[in-house]
Amino acid sequence: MNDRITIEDIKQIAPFSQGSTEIFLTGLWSSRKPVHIDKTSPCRHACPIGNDIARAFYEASMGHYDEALRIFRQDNPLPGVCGRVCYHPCEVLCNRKEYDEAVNIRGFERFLADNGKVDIGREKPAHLRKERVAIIGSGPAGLSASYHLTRLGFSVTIFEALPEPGGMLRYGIPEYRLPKDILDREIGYIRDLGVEIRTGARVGKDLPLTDMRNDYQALFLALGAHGGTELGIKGEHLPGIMDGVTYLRTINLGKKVRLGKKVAVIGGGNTAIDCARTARRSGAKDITIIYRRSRTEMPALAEDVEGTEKEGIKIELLAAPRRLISENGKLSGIECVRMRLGEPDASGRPRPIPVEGSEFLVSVDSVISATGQAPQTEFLKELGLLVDKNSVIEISCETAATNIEGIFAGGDSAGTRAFVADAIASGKQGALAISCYLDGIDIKKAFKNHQIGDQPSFSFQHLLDPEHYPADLKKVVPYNKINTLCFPHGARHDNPDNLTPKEAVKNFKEVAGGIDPSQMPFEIYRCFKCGTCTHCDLCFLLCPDISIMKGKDGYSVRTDFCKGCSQCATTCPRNVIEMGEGSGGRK
Amino acid sequence: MACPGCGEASTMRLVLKVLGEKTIVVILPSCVGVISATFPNSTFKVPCFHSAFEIAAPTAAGIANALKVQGREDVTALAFAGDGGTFDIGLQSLSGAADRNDNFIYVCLDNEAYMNTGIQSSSSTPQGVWTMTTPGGRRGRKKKFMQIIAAHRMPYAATASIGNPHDLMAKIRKAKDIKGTKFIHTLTPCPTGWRMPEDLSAKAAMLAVETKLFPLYEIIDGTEYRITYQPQGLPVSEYLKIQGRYRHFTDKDVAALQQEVDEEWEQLVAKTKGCRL
Amino acid sequence: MKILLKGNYAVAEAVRLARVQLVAAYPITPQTPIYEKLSDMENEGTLPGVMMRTESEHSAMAACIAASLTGVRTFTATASQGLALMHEMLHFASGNRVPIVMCNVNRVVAVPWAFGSDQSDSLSQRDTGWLQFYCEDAQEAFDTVIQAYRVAEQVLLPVMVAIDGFFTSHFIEPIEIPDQASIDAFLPSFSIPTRFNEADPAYIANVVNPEQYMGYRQRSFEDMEKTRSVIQEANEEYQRIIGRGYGVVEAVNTDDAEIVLVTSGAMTSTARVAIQSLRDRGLKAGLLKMKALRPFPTREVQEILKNTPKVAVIDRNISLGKGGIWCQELKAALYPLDRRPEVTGYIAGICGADVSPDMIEDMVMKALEREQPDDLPIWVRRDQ
Repeated sequence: MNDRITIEDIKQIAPFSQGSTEIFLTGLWSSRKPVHIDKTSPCRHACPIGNDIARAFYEASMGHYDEALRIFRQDNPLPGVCGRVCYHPCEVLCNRKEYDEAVNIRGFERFLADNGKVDIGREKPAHLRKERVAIIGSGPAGLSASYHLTRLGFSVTIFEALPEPGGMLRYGIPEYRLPKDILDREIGYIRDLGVEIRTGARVGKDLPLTDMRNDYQALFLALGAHGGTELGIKGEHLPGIMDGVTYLRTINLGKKVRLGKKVAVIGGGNTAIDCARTARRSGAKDITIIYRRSRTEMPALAEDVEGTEKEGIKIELLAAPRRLISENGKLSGIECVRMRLGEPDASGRPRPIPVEGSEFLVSVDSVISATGQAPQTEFLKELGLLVDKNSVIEISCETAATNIEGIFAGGDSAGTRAFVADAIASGKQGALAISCYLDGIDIKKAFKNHQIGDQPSFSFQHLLDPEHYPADLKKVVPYNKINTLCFPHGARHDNPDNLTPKEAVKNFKEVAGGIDPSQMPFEIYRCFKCGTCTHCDLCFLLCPDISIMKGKDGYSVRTDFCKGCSQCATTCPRNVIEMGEGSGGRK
Repeated sequence: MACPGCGEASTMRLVLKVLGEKTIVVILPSCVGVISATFPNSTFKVPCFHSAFEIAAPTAAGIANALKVQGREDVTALAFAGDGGTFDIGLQSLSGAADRNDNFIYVCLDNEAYMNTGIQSSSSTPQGVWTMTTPGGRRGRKKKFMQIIAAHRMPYAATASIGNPHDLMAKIRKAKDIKGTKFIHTLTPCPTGWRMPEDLSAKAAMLAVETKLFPLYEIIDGTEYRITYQPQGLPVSEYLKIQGRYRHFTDKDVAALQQEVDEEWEQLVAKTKGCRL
Repeated sequence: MKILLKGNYAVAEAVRLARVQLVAAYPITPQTPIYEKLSDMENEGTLPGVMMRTESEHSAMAACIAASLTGVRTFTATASQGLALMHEMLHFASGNRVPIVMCNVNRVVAVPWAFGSDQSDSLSQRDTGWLQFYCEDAQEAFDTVIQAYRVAEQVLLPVMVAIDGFFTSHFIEPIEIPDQASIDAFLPSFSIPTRFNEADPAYIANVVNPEQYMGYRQRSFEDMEKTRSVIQEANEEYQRIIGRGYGVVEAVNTDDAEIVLVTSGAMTSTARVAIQSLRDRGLKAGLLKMKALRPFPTREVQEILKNTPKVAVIDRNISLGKGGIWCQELKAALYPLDRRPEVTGYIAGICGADVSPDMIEDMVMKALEREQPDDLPIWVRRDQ
């Protein structure tokens, strides 16, 4: 009997292969190789503040609400404010809008601010600087500048003329849109960070500007625009007429304003809307908003205009006041003229042209004019600061610098777009400018380094630590690069209303509610998270050449085997993968 | 050794990922026969056997029964066969194995033609599609294979797709734990044979599912139907337009196909009613 | 102690005693009683292995190959059409070097459709790389199946054991069935390592290049040559333990024969009677029984027939365009001899047509008279 047959015997007699195809380096021939690199989402690109929205949604999708909030707070110290009042340009450019409905990004930001925990300890700077910076004005621009400067290690003091901090956030925006306790909470975090806010301190009146120049290494002017502009029509100085900014400030200071029975509000921006609805809550029942263009051109947010109508306030569109009529020395009406829309003017909106002979009378006994705001910058002239004919401080756009060295400006007083987010962004810009100035660094270069796309916004996260969330800030994810096959359709979750219009007009309680915690995950799920790798593993699972490897921190590519088929890049739900050069192909 | 973007390569890799090292794989002369490499190399890190074209099923069955005799029942017998080796030449032997309920998993890698030998039509090729042996478009209609499978009363059968990798892996996981013959019909797009760019395999698979052309469902014991993924219901034209093999389809052809897809989806939904879940 | 068994049942007993672990089969006349008997054994719990009832013979062989590679002792049986259907798999088994034993119950291949003993089915598979043994009776069938496992598992080549349809398969004979212990002493349990080892994985039977293929074929060829000594040794061992043995050929009265008749299978029993009758009549006739077709017992045949003037071969088969297959094989084996016998080929018994002793005597006598036999065979039929 022969010896037992072994596996070695068998290997000799029939094909028995134990080599591995890993010896075939099929990747060497490929001229393309995938690269995983996070990119900028269109919402981030649109956001004046440059919030890393997609990444916040990603963290939130894993239940990390605190981390998501922290991501917002990297750039924006006032998410609770923006989550309520922002004009959400992010939602206008949201890629999801092309698929079904834009994601409720503003509602998400509010949700995080209201439900997430702030860990101030994580925001305190590593190193303290000896330089001190003074900020004039505690509105959104000033608060934002103070926040970012403190995080960079500087000592910051804010000088606020009014009794309490907040600027327009407190004295402009009414309570039913932005509750004061929310504002106090967010300002509280800024104070916790170490920012000193001195209220009732009127620079230029009680405190000379020149003194500040000596005590502080840099100054940031964030005065806001608290002066009303004139209507420029006859009868403007009759009693019963006040400007909108003053009206709102008076109410927000806790004082009463006596209005007549029939109120007209001139203007179509948020100030006008705020005035109208504040008047409504103060007891006025017959309120008409008069606006010279059509609804589409109204600068106010559409949802606020809708709210206005629900509260029984009338809107007279394509009408402009000609003159104010008085009877017995008292205001009795406005003569208005119908307008028609012509070619676009300098603002890009159609020019309103009066239709001759179309005059009509609106009978009123109170008028609130909310057609514009101007900064109160007279006192700056003593230092020689350049101010334009509209009282706006002249600054160099990218550097936030005024004509005087060491003095910077931002927000409404420097002519920024009149939304809260833009003011906050301007404050951030100012902080960067001051930091570069004090370090002797070229701000233009620094800004470009952290700039988001081609926008005036930049990433503070990137400034502090580019390696923390590495991403290509310049590449924005277009809709056609989203693999919509990976996403089911779903309806948008809007913020519910806390109060019916009937209940709402009886008080100043907040009208809009927050998204319910049980619903929030579904809205979070709707976000594509454009350009932020969510470790969904689709590339890893699909690769026919097993060339995408999964590590603890992300994915890597085995270029030895990758044939460059690009399936990963094409199938990636959110355009994280780009195809770069491979080692093969034409040299 | 697969073509760039090969749908079969992705599918096999996912299946083996779930089944693990204690798996014996049976493969056939087919694209897989080439992908798996020539002597002395192997693309598999598990034991593998290159069987003959029509016998994926009895080979896996023979292995399964031998494993039972040897007391090695923790090892899974797995067969990969193409649509040719399943719908056509392998149908008889698959039917026999299912009748015996031999304990193995049979994964059909369906790229809708004999691709390895150069894109010739099989009974899995859909009607009207171009192949090298049906240059004017195939006259026959794609065999309703899952109905044949249902008739065999296998303990578990399912359709799956690389476009829905987690669904595929879940089904393999489920099959592993069931004793008897399990059949998984996977649609594996082939850029070469379907005449499309090599980066579109996964998207083609996703589109096949989302257009309801290739629904994802399970059949248990031949009677109970469960749909495992609710498709978006995109128009079939979205799926057809990325493939050169459908380029000659007229609007009338597309409309006819859309109608057929819609009807078959309704029939499938009807089958799921009254099933205990 | 002998018991009465038909040939098919004797084969089934051999399968049981050989401790076969997996049987895959498909029914075809005249093999069915083997399949049924094994099913009975499975039902009673006396069959040690599992049974797979396949849907075709092709699948049966496929399953056996796969199971054998996995590492168990396998068996199948078929006939005629079934063997023809298995053809691809016969090559597959030999190429995979698996020790399968199959019993083929010789039956004519259609068309025309008929049911009778005929060796065309197995002989036409002689190039598939299997060892082939032809049995004369049920006892030999039993013994050969047992010996076949031992040979197969030593050389890793498959073995076909052929028996005549109806004549051997269905006729009842007194058979001596040894006990399990004796069989175990001769045939140890299956010990070939599994080729599917998840702890040390390998890819079996992948594609090779032409030179590599030729190398494997040459190796198989050389291993087939080595089976000659293995067969002999196994038979000697069987003889020693069980008390019976068979040569790859059996020569009866051939030393001084003027003519030797060459037969195989069941016909040999009839031939023995015919040759004895001729001897009784004074004719110097001898008989050469062919048991092995592959490996062909060339040396043995040359040795036996080197001085024989005339040879008659009866083939119960026909290869169109040439003649009877045993006759061709024999002539090729005799070619190198200095003095080649004159060989007359006869075709008789096709499809089990009757071949009586006097027909055989007549064939031998006519062959003796013939001076220069034709290369073409002579057809012999009772009714002609």
